[in-house]
Amino acid sequence: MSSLLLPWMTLSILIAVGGAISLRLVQSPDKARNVAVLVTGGIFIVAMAATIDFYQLSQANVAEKWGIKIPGLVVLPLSLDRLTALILPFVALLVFLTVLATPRTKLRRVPFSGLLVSEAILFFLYGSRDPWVLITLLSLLSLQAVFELHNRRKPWRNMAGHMLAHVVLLVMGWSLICVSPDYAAGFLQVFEANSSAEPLSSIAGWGLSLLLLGLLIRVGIFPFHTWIGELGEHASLATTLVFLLPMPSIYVLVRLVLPIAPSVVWDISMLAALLTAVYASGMSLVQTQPRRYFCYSFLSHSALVLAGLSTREPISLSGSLAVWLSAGVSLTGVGLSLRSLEARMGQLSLTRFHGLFEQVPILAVMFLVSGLAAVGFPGTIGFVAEELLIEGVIHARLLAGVLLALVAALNSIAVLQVYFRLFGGTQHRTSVMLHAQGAERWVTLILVLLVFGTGLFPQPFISSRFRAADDLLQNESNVESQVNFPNEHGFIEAITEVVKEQSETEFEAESPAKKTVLLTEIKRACFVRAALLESSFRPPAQSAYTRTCSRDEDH
Amino acid sequence: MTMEFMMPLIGAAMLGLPAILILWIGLPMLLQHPWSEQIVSRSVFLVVWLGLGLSCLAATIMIATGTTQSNVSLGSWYSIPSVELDFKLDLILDGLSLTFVIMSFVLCGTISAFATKYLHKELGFQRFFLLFAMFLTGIVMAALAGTIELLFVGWELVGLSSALLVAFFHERLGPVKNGLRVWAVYRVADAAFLAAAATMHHMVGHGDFAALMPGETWPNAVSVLTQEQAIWVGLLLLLAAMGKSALVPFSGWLPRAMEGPTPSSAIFYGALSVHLGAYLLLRISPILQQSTLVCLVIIGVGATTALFAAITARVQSDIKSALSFASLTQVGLIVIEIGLGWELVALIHIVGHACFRTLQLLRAPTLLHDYHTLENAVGGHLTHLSKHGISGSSGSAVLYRWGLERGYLDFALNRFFVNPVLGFFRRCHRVEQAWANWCRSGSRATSEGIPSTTTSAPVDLFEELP
Repeated sequence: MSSLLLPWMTLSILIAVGGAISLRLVQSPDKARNVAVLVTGGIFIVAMAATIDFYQLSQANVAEKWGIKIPGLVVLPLSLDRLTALILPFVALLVFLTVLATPRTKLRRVPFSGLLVSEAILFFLYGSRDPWVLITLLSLLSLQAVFELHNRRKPWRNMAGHMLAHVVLLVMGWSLICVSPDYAAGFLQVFEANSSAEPLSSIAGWGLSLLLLGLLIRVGIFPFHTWIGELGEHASLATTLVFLLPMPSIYVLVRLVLPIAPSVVWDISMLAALLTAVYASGMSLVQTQPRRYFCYSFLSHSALVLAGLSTREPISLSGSLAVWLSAGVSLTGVGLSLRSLEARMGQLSLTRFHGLFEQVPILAVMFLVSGLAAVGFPGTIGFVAEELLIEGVIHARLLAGVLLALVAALNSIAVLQVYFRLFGGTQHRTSVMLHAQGAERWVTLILVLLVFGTGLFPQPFISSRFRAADDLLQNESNVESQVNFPNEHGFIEAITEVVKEQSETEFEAESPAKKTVLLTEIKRACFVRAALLESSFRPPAQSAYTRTCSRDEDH
Repeated sequence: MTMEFMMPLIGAAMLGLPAILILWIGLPMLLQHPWSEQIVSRSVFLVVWLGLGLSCLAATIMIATGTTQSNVSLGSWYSIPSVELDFKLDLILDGLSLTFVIMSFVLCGTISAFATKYLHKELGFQRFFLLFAMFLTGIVMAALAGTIELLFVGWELVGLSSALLVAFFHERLGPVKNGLRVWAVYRVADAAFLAAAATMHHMVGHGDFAALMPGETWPNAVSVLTQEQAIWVGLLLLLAAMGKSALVPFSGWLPRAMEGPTPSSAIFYGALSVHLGAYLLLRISPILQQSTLVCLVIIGVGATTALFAAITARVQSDIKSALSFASLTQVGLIVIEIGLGWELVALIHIVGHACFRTLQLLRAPTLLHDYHTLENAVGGHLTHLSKHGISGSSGSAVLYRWGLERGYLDFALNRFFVNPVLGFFRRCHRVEQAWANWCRSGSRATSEGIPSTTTSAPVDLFEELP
């Protein structure tokens, strides 16, 4: 595996942590905002550099040379792959725009330092592959939001209960997988169960179920979704945006569950995702507060992402990964426009019309364009993403695809309803100028250009998402990234063990097509077996086997 | 220059010019430096005339060379070759599409000239023409589309611009509520369209009209879909067309759409938008003809709509509503013609009706003014030659009431669809609030800063206006 030119992710994390510490020392809110803008802008540039560096190397998975060192313990290598190469700049952009568009009235209330800590954790999370590191970082993020609610003296028990259950289930689930008697062969069985679609009965199976449940709670799947509304209503909107929109739980699900879960798990996951998508889109129609509308809209989109993942079919998986980013970008616009409105008007209600169009036309444009992009309007970033998702899901399950089309319709009705309630229906008269500030105009311009630019010229975006989906499905980058061989000897031991299980005579008797399938299965099993046998982690060198495989594939 | 070289250029220009117009008007608005009224109206004038000239040129070339259909490929919007997914920017230039496009440019040109005067000094002048450009792009794209995906894109552009134009006077409650109603109906229809497009892909692997209906040119082409496939696709697309063309039971939005400024009512609901559903049915008519069942359903829907609209139009108390239902009567008849397989008759009917209705709707605002002038001149009220009213029999009274209530269609949709759905989610909302309150009561949090969501009235999305 090649290395990036510079340790971009480590650099980003260090800048974020350094920025968070320095913000603690700054007393003036204006200065704090300026420092935060500089720091988050710097992180965005570094993240973009990482992405450009990654795509120039043209490889599926690229590690950094350094990694995060925990003194006396281990070195945790950070790496980029096709999945995360676009997510990192998105996270950096989200935090940067959130900080940049902070209205002056909100300067004292926005936890800039906390946002930077969240950003550092997110970068660490998306760069890591180690299961325990992923679980720890996700838990830290969840607890951070609970603490913010608690510190603001807002209702926090509902959220805390859900997050506690989420953390406990994650830890229990992965622990069960690790301590199961068939630890070494556990995943092999899971793979076999996967291919034969048999239900799991082993401890590893129970562990997988708990792990999945823990992640679904964090995604906000019905009926474990009530904490999302609470968070949106009571936390600062900046925290809500950074906590929800990057969808870190979906990322952990992709890393930990996607490679090993059998078909039955995905059937359940699909059902839960569909139910949540329909429920959340319906609930977004009847909300009385813009913040809660935002939360249900987000929930509906994250459920769409999960539905696409659950099909494990190339087109829908590409669509799912594309919706992940398109919904993130679009809902950033929706969230920021709502925050700017609240800064001017206080908490808004959707039970009446506000007629703010003439006062803040720029914010109206940002809300409408972002909202329409989120629901997949043609020419925006969301269109191609939803088109791919629905088409892929219809290929896999016809009825599910039709339901997703209905969800898109409900979401779009909700967007225009909220738009009309906020910006139309009456004329808002005020003696105070409410028009958008310079930073808000810039944010609007950036988002509108991003939404339409990617929507009108979607090929690079779609290609990158398809390659990422392809990697996930082939399981090569995914499993390989979890495998860190201490030496080539360990790898050879692992492969020998697996190959022994295949009778040579049986293998030779098979057809060429069947041989190819068997070889792929053996390769996959080898990686997992080796990963489970080895406990110490180091960045892998390209093994002889990988070289042989890639040579064979080229041939 | 050969025809193979000319046609893609002409097709791209017909499609590209209105799209450029959106950017030309929209970008300065976004930067808060909008063009003056004069620049905007001249830009629109230029684009419409260029578009009309190009479409006439394409028609002339085709007639001169004896070509009945020209398939133009402008490349791909995006593609994933390994899974054979390709969003093609293919156009079909044939008798159907060119007739519709020429008609669209003529009517859009007429109405843009009218709107320039009608909306002079209006606060939303630039906004109107931005939405107008979006509508023009959508209608041209839908008409020229050679694939069902591209038709869907045009269809959506038409839908959004129409809904926003209904709510053009957004500082008033009525237009906003009616705009939302129109949007809601459109989106349900769009969901059916999207499902039909994806189902078509699922069944045959692509959505190209030329490949779906190969051989002869429109309307004599034969579909490659089986009868069963044609039923599913046909019914879903019929549902989409019913929403867009305000066929029964979706007719309730049509008079509501008249809340927009007169030019938009004329162009969208009198002339073009209301015929787009019929155009879709015409485009896929070889697929529809594959199934007798689908044809019978189409005839039934068309006949019901025509009958309903004919009765309702007679009892409307304002001129725009009367015209909208009169328009709907003709659309119903056009749909019947499509169901019967008389595609050419239906196309001629569309062109004639669209032109006539545009004239009527544009005349409507000045007609009242003229009446008042005349009455002032003669010094009294003019005597009406005919009187609408109840003739005395109970049957007539029932029919009169039924027409006045617009067939109770809005009531039925609210009663049996909207209210149960929204009611269900409102109940869920209350349950969630109860759960949140229960959690709160156990926490140490103060009530300060907590909005009292439980006391808020539920959102009445589709409530009737007082």
